[in-house]
Amino acid sequence: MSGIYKGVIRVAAFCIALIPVLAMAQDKSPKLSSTHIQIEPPEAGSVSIPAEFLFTGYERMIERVRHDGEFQKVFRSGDRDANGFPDLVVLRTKVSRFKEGNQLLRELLDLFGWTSLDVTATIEGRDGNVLFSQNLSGRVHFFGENLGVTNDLAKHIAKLLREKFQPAPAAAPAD
Amino acid sequence: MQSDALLFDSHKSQAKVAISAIDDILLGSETTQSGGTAGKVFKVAAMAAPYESGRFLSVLMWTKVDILTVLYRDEKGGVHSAVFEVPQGQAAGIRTQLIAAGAHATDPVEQAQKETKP
Repeated sequence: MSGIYKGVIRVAAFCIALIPVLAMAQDKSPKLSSTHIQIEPPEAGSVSIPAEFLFTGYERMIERVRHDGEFQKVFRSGDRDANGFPDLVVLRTKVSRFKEGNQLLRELLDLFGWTSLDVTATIEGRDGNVLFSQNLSGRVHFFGENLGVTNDLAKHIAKLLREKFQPAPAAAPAD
Repeated sequence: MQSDALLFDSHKSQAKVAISAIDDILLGSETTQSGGTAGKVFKVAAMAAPYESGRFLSVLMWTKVDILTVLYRDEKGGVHSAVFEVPQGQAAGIRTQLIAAGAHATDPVEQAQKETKP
């Protein structure tokens, strides 16, 4: 019986030891390389969401990604200058769930009135080929306006891009 | 608003947008804290009130506002948006003025449809 226990303990110890190794292997997956990105406004899909949330999210994504300097140039949707770059990637976001909370309720009763915005962020190449796609969420739990959810989401999107892309050489802020 | 342009100025940036470059004007509403900086100071001070009564004092500072979202294009075709908070009941008037001056805008019914089914 004690032999079975020892075996189980060894297997468990092996599995636990494997966790950081797997995590490191995941971190070392090759990063994508592109120096130009175009950001499209979030699509509402079939979700009911006020326009100000979509467009505040759009502006905040642009602001965050430019601030990070991961790309040499960050283009807005529709910018004709983006056509000249063969390595251009396009960031698209589609809302999958939106719950507009209540700021007053949040401040009065901490556990109620949260605002949340879930999206699927997709990076496409110029040819429309999907390079990767990931679900992300923005939340406002305690303080701040409901629109603050777009800021939280933009932070997560900028972080995702930092993780997935190599920093562009001689990155310069774009206008 | 000038005759042919919309000027706006925030702490971070200023912009002048030709009214003809405006693609859409969308209306919304929100409940927010009134009072500006003084309101924020009051709110922080209210936190010191005993038995968390400050939370309830800040209830007095809530107000409804209209949200006006203006979408426009720059000279390269890039889409920009500006979101304004205006006193309740004023957004529709501003929208009408902008449309009269030459701005493009979708019908509020179409806007409601866009927000639910794009």
